[in-house]
Amino acid sequence: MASIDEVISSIDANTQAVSEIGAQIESSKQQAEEVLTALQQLGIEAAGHALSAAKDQLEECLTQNAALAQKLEQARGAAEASKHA
Amino acid sequence: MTSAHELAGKIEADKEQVAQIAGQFAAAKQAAEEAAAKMRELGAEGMAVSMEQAVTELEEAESGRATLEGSLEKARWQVMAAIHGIGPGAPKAPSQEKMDERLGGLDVMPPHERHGRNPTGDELMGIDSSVGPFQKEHENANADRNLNPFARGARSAVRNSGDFKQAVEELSKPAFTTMKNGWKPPTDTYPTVGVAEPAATFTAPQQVQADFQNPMGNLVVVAVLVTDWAARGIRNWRGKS
Repeated sequence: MASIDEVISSIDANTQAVSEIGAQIESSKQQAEEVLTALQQLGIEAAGHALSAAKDQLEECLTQNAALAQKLEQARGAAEASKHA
Repeated sequence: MTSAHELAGKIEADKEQVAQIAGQFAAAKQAAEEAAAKMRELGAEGMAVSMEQAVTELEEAESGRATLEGSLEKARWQVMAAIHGIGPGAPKAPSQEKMDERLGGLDVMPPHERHGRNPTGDELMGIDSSVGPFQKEHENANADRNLNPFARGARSAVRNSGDFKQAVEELSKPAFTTMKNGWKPPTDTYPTVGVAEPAATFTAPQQVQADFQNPMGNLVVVAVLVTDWAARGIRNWRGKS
């Protein structure tokens, strides 16, 4: 049925977008690590603590992004299953 | 710090990306809903159930997307906090920024901001905060019964001054937070030399500004104490205990 395929392909487009965002967040996290190292070398403690928190937060974002990808995978599976139900 | 600025900008861009896919998330869900409705119409129950499951998953996915957007925003704010100190503020010139870092916490700050929390009004008055607001302790619950209304009012105000103080503090907090954020050490006291690294003659404790005592709350406690003192004075003058 055409409409099921439409659903599946729009889910696929979302999955693609989420995967790209995941790569972006990963690169942001690495950038945060670099800045953190620089701050620590300069001995600026307060900024270092705040940035360390930001780095942890980005880690959290990566986890959420992965969960989102998985959720989309489940949606795709359910849509696929409707073809054969 | 330039690279931290760049990082904040990058996280902002990531967040924007997440915001922009909201549309296609909604479109996918709508497509699934329409497909499920058509299946129901055609009487294809099994198919409809599966597709409705997909709809549910896509709704949860949208919720996850929104959460991710918020989390990225939070990360961005944390980077901004690292750059500017507490919260948002105008970017400072590099020499001024280093100067502020060194001076923060020393004699440029008023003593009550520098020393951290004073005992609260509750502790001073011996008020038991485990008793709820406007409840009386079980013992001596009606000890005030024989006093005149003014004294009872003063007694009650003293007992509940903790809550009253808290309420006033909550109300006036935004004003003081704004004032506190706008407060800068006097710039004309210390000559700013345009050199990147002025010699450090002293090391200041480089901590974030200590939390301040809201003066409005303390004024309330003082007002309540004065009222109670007046009530006692009146009672003594009248010869009652």
